[in-house]
Amino acid sequence: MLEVGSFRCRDCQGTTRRAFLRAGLLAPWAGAALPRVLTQAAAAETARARSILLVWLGGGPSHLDLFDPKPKAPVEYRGPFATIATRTPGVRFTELLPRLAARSDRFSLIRSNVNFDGDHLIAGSIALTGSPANAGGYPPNFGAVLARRRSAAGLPSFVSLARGPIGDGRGPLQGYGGGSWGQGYDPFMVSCSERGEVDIPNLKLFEGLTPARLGDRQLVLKELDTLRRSIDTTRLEQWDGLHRRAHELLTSPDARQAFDLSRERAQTRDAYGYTSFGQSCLLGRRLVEAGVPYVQVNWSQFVEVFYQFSDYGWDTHADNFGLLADWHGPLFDRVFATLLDDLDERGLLATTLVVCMGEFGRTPRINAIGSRDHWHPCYFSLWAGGGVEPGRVVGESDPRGEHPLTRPITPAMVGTTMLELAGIPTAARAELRVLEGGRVIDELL
Amino acid sequence: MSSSDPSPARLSAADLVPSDAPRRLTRDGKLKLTPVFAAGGRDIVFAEHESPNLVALRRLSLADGSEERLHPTLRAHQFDPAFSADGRYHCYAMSATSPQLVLVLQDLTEKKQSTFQPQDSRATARYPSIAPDGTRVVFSLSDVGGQQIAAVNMQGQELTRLTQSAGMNDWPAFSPDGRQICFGSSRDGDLELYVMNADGSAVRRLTRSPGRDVRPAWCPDGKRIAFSSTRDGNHEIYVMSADGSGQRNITNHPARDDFPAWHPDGRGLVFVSDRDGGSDLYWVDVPA
Repeated sequence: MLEVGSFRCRDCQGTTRRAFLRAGLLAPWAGAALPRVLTQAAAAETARARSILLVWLGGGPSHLDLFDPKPKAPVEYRGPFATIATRTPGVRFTELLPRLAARSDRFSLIRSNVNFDGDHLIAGSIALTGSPANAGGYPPNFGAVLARRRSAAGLPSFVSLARGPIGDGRGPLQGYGGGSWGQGYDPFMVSCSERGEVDIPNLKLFEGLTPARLGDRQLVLKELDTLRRSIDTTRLEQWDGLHRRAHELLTSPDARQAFDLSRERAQTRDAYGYTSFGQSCLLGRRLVEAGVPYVQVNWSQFVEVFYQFSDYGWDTHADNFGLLADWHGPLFDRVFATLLDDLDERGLLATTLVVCMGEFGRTPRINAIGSRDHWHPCYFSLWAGGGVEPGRVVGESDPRGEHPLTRPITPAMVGTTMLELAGIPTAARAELRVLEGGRVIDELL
Repeated sequence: MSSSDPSPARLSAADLVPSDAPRRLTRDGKLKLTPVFAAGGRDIVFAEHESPNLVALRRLSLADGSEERLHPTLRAHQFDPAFSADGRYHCYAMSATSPQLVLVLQDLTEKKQSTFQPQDSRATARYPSIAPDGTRVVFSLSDVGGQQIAAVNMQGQELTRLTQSAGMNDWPAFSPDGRQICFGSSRDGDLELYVMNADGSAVRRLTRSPGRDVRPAWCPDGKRIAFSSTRDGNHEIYVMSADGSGQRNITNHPARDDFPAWHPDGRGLVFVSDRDGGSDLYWVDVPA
């Protein structure tokens, strides 16, 4: 990946800050040169979701302590949180989610998701690609599939909002990007700070090159010479063909506007709250509004909570109840409720499929240190907009939240439903050789 | 006032004069947790999500509004600051190289530091409260045996578990005379407040409400306890008499008001609220 330039944008306090735009050598929009299975027009005809916005809760949020409480379970299972009524008759969430309880008629809830592994990196890859790895590695991320199928004028087709490749302390999820299709289908990584400052992780080869200075041909050539000396021949051969696109992205008013949160009303920014997750969700909404087909907003880069490098993921092996009450619960409730409100008020919810999930849930039985560990046999996901019928509860877990009592919803069914709603039907998926035989979650539609 | 207000954090003694409405003390909007007064009420120390991968303790001077890191060179996450009433001892929770949270205990006079490390590699020690006589610290220990209230001496030794109940036990707070400890527990279902003798005996329930009653803070006058409750649908700060009577909502706002901490003179308290968008510190008067 190469950074091709930078621009300055105002933060919410009116000051100017440098924001970098980096173009991947093989960024998703480079896929324009790759074979297309269907035409753009055909996709538009079949798509109920113009864009997909995936809110990824890496680490494994506890289903019992959020959306699938079990107040009648034995004390060693149920946890300390009371339940509250929602707008959906007969459905209760825990008290950590009052705003979402008041909006349960705007989204549907699946309580019978299952995964096939209890390891973060494996389960996360399966959840984001639909199946385990084979000899060729993991299949492409759902976002990579859609990005190959659909492009956005002047913008990347698959954006992942995080400080870097998501994963755990051992490394990134293999399924975060192009997988067996190659790095050319990896997401365009963008980080967003708690103040809404946009940055592109990793390389910053062209620091100081502002849009105003892009017209300075000598400066650009000088930077290119530097670049040529610093990269290997193979990558250099790809550079020239991509430079034009990168330049277009960097100087595109549409792109610059989409990434500039200072253009939002203060009230809107306040509503999302000044956390990286909050402002990232706002940025995700802006990107969807600008036409980006697939945006993945990540709660954190790492799944871990307390490691020294970590950034408060959902992997609450210790102090699960304190963390959910103090931090994760209120923050998620506020931001996700605001996101739904914002999309709805702007008329975007009808054409944007919002999916929220992690790679698994957490052990229904409280562990020896008063917390919860990984649990992949049963967890939850949230679905809104983009053709999903709101206010439904799909699936049911057993009285202790350990296993589904109804048909398990697999990662392949999740991916199939997302792509189906985004206008990539069975035939197209078969031709791309992804999610073949996958079943749509009919109960959502 | 919006969080987009560009004014830096500034306040003076005038900010803490009696007022009907809570006064905003910080304006940066960064996520804040667990404020406490320090230096006899001249400073507020709190945990702040300073950067995506660092929660650090910060000190806000009430004299001039200046703010600085409490432990400038520390790169580990820091949470839950506590100070003894005489200012001699300081204690906080800190991330270790594993998912553990250890307890750091400092004697600021003798410039000595001790650490209490839980047993399990994923265990945590949080929410310390230092005994008024400076002999020990109580805290929430999530370790083998569940989430219980425990105590160690100021060298981090002589671990004693003060509760042995089902459910979670958290947020212990010493009474000003050191004879009692108020804490939150889910032993009877949802989270309620309880009080027990300092040795863990004679547990009495103080609250009975729907929702969570958590994070008790004992007023220095010994007569009142502030706490955070969701009984009205969202987090509000409540104050009650030390026997649990006279519970009243003192914040009454649709936003989250949480983490109350009394000023040493007992005339009011600081809390964290997101009522203006960001997460900031606010002051509210609480007449006796």
